[in-house]
Amino acid sequence: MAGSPGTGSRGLGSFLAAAWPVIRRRLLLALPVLLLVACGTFGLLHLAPGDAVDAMVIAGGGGDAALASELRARYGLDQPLLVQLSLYLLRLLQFDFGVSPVHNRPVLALITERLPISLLLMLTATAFAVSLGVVLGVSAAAAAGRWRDRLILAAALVIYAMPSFWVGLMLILVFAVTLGWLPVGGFETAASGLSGMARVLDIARHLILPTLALALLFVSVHLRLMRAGMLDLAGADFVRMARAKGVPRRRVLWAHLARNAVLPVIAMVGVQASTLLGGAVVIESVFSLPGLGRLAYDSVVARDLATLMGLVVVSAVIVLTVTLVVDLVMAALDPRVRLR
Amino acid sequence: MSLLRVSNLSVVFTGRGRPPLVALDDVSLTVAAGETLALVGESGSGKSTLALAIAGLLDTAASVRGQIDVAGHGIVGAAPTALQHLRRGGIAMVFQDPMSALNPVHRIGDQIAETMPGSRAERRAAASRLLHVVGLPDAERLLEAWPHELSGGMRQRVALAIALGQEPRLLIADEPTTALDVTIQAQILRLLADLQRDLGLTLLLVTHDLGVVAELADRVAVLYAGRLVEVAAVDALFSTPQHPYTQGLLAARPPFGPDAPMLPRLTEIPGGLPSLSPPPPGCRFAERCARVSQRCREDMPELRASSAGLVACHHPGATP
Repeated sequence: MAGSPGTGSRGLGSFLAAAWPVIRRRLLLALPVLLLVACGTFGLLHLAPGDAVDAMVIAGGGGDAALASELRARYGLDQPLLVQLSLYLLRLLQFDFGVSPVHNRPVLALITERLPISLLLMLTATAFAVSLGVVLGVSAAAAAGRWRDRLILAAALVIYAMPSFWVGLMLILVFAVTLGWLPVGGFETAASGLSGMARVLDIARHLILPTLALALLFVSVHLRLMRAGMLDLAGADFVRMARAKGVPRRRVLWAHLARNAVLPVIAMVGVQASTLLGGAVVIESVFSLPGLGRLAYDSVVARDLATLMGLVVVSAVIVLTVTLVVDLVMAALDPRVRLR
Repeated sequence: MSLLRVSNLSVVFTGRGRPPLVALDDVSLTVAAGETLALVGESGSGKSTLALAIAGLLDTAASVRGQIDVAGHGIVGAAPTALQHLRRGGIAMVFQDPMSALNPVHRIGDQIAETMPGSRAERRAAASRLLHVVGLPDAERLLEAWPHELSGGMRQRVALAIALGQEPRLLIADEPTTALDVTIQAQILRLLADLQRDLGLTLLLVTHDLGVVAELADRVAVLYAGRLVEVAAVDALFSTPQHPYTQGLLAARPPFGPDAPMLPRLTEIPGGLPSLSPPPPGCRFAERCARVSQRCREDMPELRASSAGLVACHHPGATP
């Protein structure tokens, strides 16, 4: 407790240096988790009837049993399940996710070319959801019980009750189809030949609506957490102390109250990492963004188990990484949090 | 000359769906510059409300009537910017619970220096000096510390340093030792007494601890159910209390000294505080008083001069 006050020094570099052993240990701990996820998914996926060869044969309008068994032998689908699993895990340990029988390309390449799009969408949506949730939460708490508070809470409830795919469709209808302000879908204008800043702006224009649709899923939760935290702390002695020493009202609100009330909101981002990924899958489909979500959807339809497996493992990696990053952010924002 | 003058102050808390609660009713008192006034009363008597009202820190749910003057500046109804001026060189406040009085996510040095004028280096030097003043050595290290790394006594000293950083003329201490260990209590009280003497502070000490009162106060104001019942110099109050409630309070102290029994039977005042929403028409203490008469129940006694100071009682005097 009072052992060595003042030991923490300032700066990002020293923070990361202090956190490094924790990061390393958490990364090592992630390995068994990923193996478990891989085994579990493998079992679940093989409980479903049919494989990629079935899907191909059906897509081809029926066909030759000999060709089917030849294909199965080529992709190792004729082996006993346990052998398939062991082989898969062995290859996984060498970052080899196998070859997609549907796309006839390495799964890792399929995933890595789509990963940045999904990550970008998750990042922009989280940043927007947290900022909007914090601003609206502070704004509501500052007017607690008055009309502005009620209006914000009512709007939050309505937004919370709307499914995100429907919100996405409505956004497309209003801003893309009717008003024509923003593109209907896609990640960037195809074959536009744009580069540099122009390309960044083009991508940004394409991301506005999907970001909005995905973020609205979380804004209500963040806003309510923020508001509750603000009201909880409003009566705290340190807030009175700040007012007593002459801190201006606006600074009391933000530097003292909001600075403390934002901590549970950040923690919530970590808890919702998997919801965020799931939401991104839906939103990518609605806005035809060529991200992981589209790939997952197409792989399910085509019984592309190799790609699906790779996606699940990568998703687990994303969720674990987000959780670790959120923990690091929490430790940086709250001196009482000890990284373990 | 009085530094603090409270005249006919009433504070009513109104909440939706609840009857209004009269926390303070027609309270008047003055505190001279350099004086230490102890504000005594049990929980719910309104003493913290009075302290917050004087500091201009009551929230908007409270409706305040009457006047509060600190060094010639009105507090009641003052604009936020006018109050802001009084935070420097005017009023400072120390709170009961040092565990929650410091912002957990700001460093000690930043909290002390936050509202100080001057450059960053000047403010840091001033904060370091203040830590020495409140008896915390190794200031350089403490400036970088977080509140959770400090003990309760250290935090209360930091809170005092923050208050002193405002260079106040009036320091309001709301139960500054209640949340501390007994040994730490004595240290903080000694520190308060020293600072009061050395800096010429006017001290308003809110407490329910009569031992603290005897040690620090020049005068005592006794608050009961939102009204002042007795105001007197500390010696007079302890030797010849006039109000039956004050007498009850003093009698409820455990006896101390060579002749005191090991396990004394403590005298208590029967009953509890009356409801304050709305308060009873007559004397607030009537239902618990041994000297109660019909007049007490109907007619509210006003604060009048007595042999030792001021008392609000129809039947004042020494214990029968």
